[in-house]
Amino acid sequence: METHQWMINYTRQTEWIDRRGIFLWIAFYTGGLGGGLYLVSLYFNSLWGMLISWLIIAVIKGGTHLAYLGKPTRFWRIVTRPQTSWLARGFIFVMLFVIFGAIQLVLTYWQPGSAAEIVFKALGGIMAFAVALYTGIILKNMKGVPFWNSALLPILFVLCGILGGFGLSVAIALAGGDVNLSAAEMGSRILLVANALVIIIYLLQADHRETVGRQSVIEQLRGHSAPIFWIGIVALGIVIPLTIAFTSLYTEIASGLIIFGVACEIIGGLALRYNVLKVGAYKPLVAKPQ
Amino acid sequence: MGERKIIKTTCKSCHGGCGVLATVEDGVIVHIEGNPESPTSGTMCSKGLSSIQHVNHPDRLLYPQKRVGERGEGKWQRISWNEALDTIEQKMKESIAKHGATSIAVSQGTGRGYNEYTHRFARSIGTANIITPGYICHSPRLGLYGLVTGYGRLYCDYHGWGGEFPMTQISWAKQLEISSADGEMAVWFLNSLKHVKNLIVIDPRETALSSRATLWLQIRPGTDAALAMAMINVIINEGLIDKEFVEKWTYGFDKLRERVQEYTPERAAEITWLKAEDIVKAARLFAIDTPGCIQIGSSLERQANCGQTLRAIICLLGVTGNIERPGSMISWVPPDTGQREDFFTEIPITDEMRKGIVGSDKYKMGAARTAHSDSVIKQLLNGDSVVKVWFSVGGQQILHLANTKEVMQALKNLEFLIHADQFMGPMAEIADIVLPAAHWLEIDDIFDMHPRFMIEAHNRVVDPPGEAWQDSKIFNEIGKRIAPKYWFENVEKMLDYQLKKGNMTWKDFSKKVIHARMGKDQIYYKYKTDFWRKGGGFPTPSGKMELYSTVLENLGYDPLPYFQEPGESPVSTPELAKEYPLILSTGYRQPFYFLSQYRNIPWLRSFQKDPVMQIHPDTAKEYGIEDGDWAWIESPRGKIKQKARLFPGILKGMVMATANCFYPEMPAPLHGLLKSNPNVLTNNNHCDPMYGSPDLTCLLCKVYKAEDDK
Amino acid sequence: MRWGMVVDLSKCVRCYACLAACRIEHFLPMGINWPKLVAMDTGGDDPTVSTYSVRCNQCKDAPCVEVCPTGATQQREDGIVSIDQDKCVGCRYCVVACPYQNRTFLSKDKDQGFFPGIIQTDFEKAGKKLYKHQVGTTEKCNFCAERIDAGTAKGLKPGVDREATPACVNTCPARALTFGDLDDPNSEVSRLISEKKGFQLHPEYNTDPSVYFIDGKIGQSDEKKVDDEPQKELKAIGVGD
Ligand code: SF4
Ligand code: SF4
Ligand code: SF4
Repeated sequence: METHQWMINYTRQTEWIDRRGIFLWIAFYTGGLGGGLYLVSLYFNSLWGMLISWLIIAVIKGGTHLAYLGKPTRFWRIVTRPQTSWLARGFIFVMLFVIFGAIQLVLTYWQPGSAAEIVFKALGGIMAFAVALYTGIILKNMKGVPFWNSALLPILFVLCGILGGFGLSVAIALAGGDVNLSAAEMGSRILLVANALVIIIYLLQADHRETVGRQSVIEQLRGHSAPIFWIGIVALGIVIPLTIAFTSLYTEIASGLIIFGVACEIIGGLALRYNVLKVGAYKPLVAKPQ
Repeated sequence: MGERKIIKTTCKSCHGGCGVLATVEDGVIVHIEGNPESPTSGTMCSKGLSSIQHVNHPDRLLYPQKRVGERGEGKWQRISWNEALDTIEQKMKESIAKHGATSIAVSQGTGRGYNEYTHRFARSIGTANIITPGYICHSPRLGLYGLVTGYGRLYCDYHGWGGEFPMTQISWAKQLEISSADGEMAVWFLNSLKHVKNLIVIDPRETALSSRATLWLQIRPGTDAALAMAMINVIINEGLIDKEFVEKWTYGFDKLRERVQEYTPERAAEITWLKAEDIVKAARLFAIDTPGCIQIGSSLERQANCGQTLRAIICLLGVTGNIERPGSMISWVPPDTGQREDFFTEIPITDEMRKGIVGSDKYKMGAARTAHSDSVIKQLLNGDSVVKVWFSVGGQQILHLANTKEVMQALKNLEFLIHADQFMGPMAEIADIVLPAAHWLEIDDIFDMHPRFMIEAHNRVVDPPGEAWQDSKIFNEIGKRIAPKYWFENVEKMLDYQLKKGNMTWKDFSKKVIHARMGKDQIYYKYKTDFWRKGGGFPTPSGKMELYSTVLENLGYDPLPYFQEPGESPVSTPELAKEYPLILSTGYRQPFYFLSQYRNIPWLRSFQKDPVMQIHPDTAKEYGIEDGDWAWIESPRGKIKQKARLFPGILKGMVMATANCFYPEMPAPLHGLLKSNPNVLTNNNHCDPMYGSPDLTCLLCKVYKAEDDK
Repeated sequence: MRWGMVVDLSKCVRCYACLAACRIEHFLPMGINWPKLVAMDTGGDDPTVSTYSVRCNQCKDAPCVEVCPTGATQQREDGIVSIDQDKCVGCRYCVVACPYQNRTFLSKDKDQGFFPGIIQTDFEKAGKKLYKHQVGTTEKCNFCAERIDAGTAKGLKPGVDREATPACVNTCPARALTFGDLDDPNSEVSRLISEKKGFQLHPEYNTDPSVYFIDGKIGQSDEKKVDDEPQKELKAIGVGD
């Protein structure tokens, strides 16, 4: 069995999701989430949000990605070679974000409104955007995995990060933080709808791209990954938060429920990254003529 | 870095013969590769290369052991070689005194190169009850070719030494390229394909070669004689015979012509499930584009009609003149060291020994120099066994004989069983004494190969582990105790003795590594010279190639070939076929295992973990089996499970099960013997009248999905 | 100079020798194969059984080189895509990026020894000294660069002289593998590619692999060949005495 079917049929990418690959998955997601939250927090000028996003990227995203490396102590080789690849650039974005973000947080705390603060906010914002974006570019460029070859993927990842950012902002607002609740909720609503649309377009597009892309879609909708798709991405990530978000337009909703909606959104985002990585499949090495 | 040296030796991981360069550093083999200055030009297969893991295997047997619990209970105690040899000597002598020497059987497998020693040992102590897998692998060919050439060997001339390569090659029930047994011949065969015009593959399964061959005949298993007869029919009736050869050098042509008339291509097509026009085409190609040769596979010898099938194929060679002509089938002249068999044939089989051969009354061709294995088993079961003490080397009869459950029972009825091997397998587990044997990288010995035109040296590269001995030493030491006059002071003297005709000592030969008669030194067209007979002719009673065999006639067999249905088939047993509708062949082999060996070598096992059975997708669908499922295969004798592989290249309505499999890693004493070994399914009641070969490649079975195997 | 390989599908018999030879040559950990065999049958009316002996293609425009963030994976002058095990950080970007799946990340569980939990064989122990594998880095076929470098240093010609030729090519009993310089129009590989319509796997990726495949029927040879090749072989081994 071992050889016969190997690479004749569609083979999943495993290195970046199975087993230790889950670190990479978390890193990829939290990069988007942290970046999104930072951008949203800039909009709300929420120090809390900026602090939390800084922590997410510095600790979780940076930590898991480092932990994922086979030889973490050699990571300096990566950050000294921006010309090589998007992974190197991504690492640099993260590092710069951590540095700029730290300075910005300090400035915002002690010298709010100073020119320096504004400069570092801008720098932090650019880096946050880059952190949210680059993982999508990495996947988009993989020649062998048709499911990922779409310019929509980086957009989807950024959108999803911003959506998560709005979600967390809502939570911050509810916790009494420095965010305007109704604006955050409105942002959530818009992003939820946009996100759902992009996912649908993305799947439709992938379905037409190549037989392998199609396989990935089928795997999403009906295969082993289907529960994650339907429950994680569709139900938890879109339907429930959307229902809660729109209901809150008309009636007062218990804050517990809203928090629940935010949690669902986060899980949905995780599920989305998970499935995108999980169903990414290579074209058969040697194709069986049909 | 310590001392580094490269030792030239010869591989024996299958029947072997590929030249090897082994690099040793500080007493450890660090590299192994083919020897470019050998007839195999430096190639080696995965089995030979993986010897590195074999030699270093932690499960190697290191010391002689004796059984302390019940037979087959798996309780062992280490003993000294002296104690082992003393016990063996005593048991054998007792048995000889009480029941005569024929009560001792000596058995072997097919690898490791102990043939000359098993036979010499048996004969030296006065028994010809030698149990070998020969009767299902090669012996029928040797015997029946022997009716043409005297010493019983005819090989495809892949070498072009006579100036011509075969123009038409038939690969008949054979995948020489991967059948895992004759590595060195595979290399020559594959090379000769560069020069071939037509390649005809006769096989129920598609192969890499059949996909690209001139013609592929997807035959129903067990019906090959009908095909051969029909091809002769076409060749004779269309006047395509080699007139000169047939008229001058064959005997009984007219009778053969008469016999083949009933085998029209149309009738053969019905029997074989082939197309009549393909049969005609094959016949024409073979008769017109000469020279040609036929590489026969031992699958034909695992059928209870093997004798006459082979006779038919030999007659096909005869009418086309494809004997002894460059690029056809040749009986190679050995080098001046002589036949390797001389080492045992110099001790003749006495009448008394012959009388004691089990099965000799029935199987006059097969059980003339060796015993008929299945008869030995039946006798042991019935309690009237001639054989009481069994000395087994290498081969695991418990695996490869038909009807495993009966064999297990029978072996338990032995008085004493000795087994020499490198690992504890199912055969060792039921023995009374187990002796540790050496690997080919650990021995000094003489290698001979099937086509017999050369011998090569196995040179010791490293020492055997623990107290393991090479097989020749084991035989020599026991031989010295029982029949001292036939045995030698030490192994080196014994090797010197075997080389003496070539005016060489072992030391000379060991340096030379290869001693061969090749190229211009070979003799073609021997029948036109005084080689066999003064004034020309064949070494047969009539002096001609006997299409009508007077020898077989005298033994009471049909002197002309004919086709007979397998013992079980949709045609011969239609009632049985209702319950067991599929044709079962148990001949599936993987290129990286050699018979039952090497499933414990991690590199090789990684290529295929579980035994696989092949089945056509349409047939599989009918029985609810999907690719990768575990499936039960059941015959009237029992059931086993193997992993299903859906393969569109296999005949519909057929199951091809992996042969000889057990699971070395599973618990003793059985090591999973009954789980997947297809001999649980095979039948030892229906055997070839000449050779006693049972049907192993043409039986009936049914299949159904099995629960997953975790 | 650009080293390349031609795999003849009409010759490969799926014997696995190339895998074993590579393991020995590079003391590969148990869980890793550099070359792999992909066997397939097409079914249908004119079915074909084929076995593709695949290994790193040493792509001219190699995605793995493009993505490597540390410079560990690089393309040499002679086209070989090499990995510097001392530089690789184990990010596995290249593993995912190679569209031919020819790269393997050496994780701990892939390096448990030939007989896990029992002993380390002498061969393995020797291997640890003779060939460095680093858990936590990525590996792949290197076209036996060690052999090529050592051989060419002695003035030998890869693909012609055994000492300078990849181990799998040397061992293949079917002679299905041919090695040589793709830039040299007279090399055996170039000749095979042009005569037998060599093709690359997935040309649409624009990676320009240096491994080509050829296929064909057996048995077109029409004249009765009487060449001097067998005699040549004989002289080489100096027998017949
Ligand atoms: S060694 Fe040659 S014949 Fe054997 S599998 Fe590899 S490429 Fe095929
Ligand atoms: S086959 Fe894969 S690993 Fe080899 S050079 Fe091409 S992209 Fe890189
Ligand atoms: S070229 Fe060398 S490294 Fe590559 S597969 Fe062959 S033996 Fe292994």
